[in-house]
Amino acid sequence: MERHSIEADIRTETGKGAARRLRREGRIPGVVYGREKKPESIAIDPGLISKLMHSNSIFDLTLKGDEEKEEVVIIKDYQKDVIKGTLTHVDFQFISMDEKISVSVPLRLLGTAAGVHEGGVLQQLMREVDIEALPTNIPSEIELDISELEMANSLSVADLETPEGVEITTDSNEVIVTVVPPTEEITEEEEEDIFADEFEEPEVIGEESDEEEEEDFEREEE
Amino acid sequence: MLVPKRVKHRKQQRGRMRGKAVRGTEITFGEYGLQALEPGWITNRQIEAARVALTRYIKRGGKVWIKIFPDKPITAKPAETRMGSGKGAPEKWVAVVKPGRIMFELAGVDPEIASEAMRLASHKLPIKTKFVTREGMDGEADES
Repeated sequence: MERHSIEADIRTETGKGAARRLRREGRIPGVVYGREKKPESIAIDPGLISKLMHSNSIFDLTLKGDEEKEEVVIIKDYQKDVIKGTLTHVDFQFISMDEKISVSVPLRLLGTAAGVHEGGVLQQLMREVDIEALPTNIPSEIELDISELEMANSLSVADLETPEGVEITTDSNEVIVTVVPPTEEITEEEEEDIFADEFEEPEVIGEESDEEEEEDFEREEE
Repeated sequence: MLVPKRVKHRKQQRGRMRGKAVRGTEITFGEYGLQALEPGWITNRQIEAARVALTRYIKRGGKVWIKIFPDKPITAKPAETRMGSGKGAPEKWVAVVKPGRIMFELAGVDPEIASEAMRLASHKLPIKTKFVTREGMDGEADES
């Protein structure tokens, strides 16, 4: 598990105006909380953390305020700009080195599936798995050998080899990876059919069809 | 073509498309995506045309996901009709797309093929788009 040192200033101004001012200066707002300690609003330089977003790194965070203090934290959550992809906010969680924590660890697939050689497409449904472990035991990734995976077969969380000192909390029946048949090529005839249809009117919920309405009318007349 | 099976109301008001997409902004199934950079209405015919362009270019192999659904009916009055006499008849279905939305996803092909397939698909759409990959979620703007 990698360990890095970062610095953050305790932030007194809150709200969108202050957050936008901060982002214009090239820094981002954040918050640090957990372990029944007092939560602190912080301002931080996104440079280093934006590269370590998915790594489960442990940070020695130096909080600069009226007095300077050092805390051990992990990245709990983050927000990104949907178009630019830049970091806009980050959540840190206080941790203790001798207490188990829950984190998500990325999965790494090894080899090429046998089904892919037959023309199938590898579909990875899960990319991260939830684990519980001491901060020092958190693996950077968990590997899964897929070389014997055939077409229409799948591998689930139960097929993962659990590293020592790690407990996987994701449901063992959840599928990680499967090999599916590829998308069929569209023939020109099919294409003509697709675009030939006129506007289709769907059924309107709660509205009776004309026939039913007529029946009701007849019944009323009687 | 994509059409809802059942609807609550036959006609809808036009609505506004302010702000950015808050859902569907991440690549969830595939490796590559086509992200909207502008707001717009994407009709079911445009979605279908883009899908055909994608599958035609990647030939056999690969998998395509369509992550938008045209669930909004758009009405129109017949040509050369005088104004008034109520709202027109439903004519097409559209998906409301806001900037940041991943509209199509692709997996099981090389990045160069995926990028070219998405470029061809983007020419079928009425908005500016960007090719994005799962790694880093960044890429070149591809105007259409």
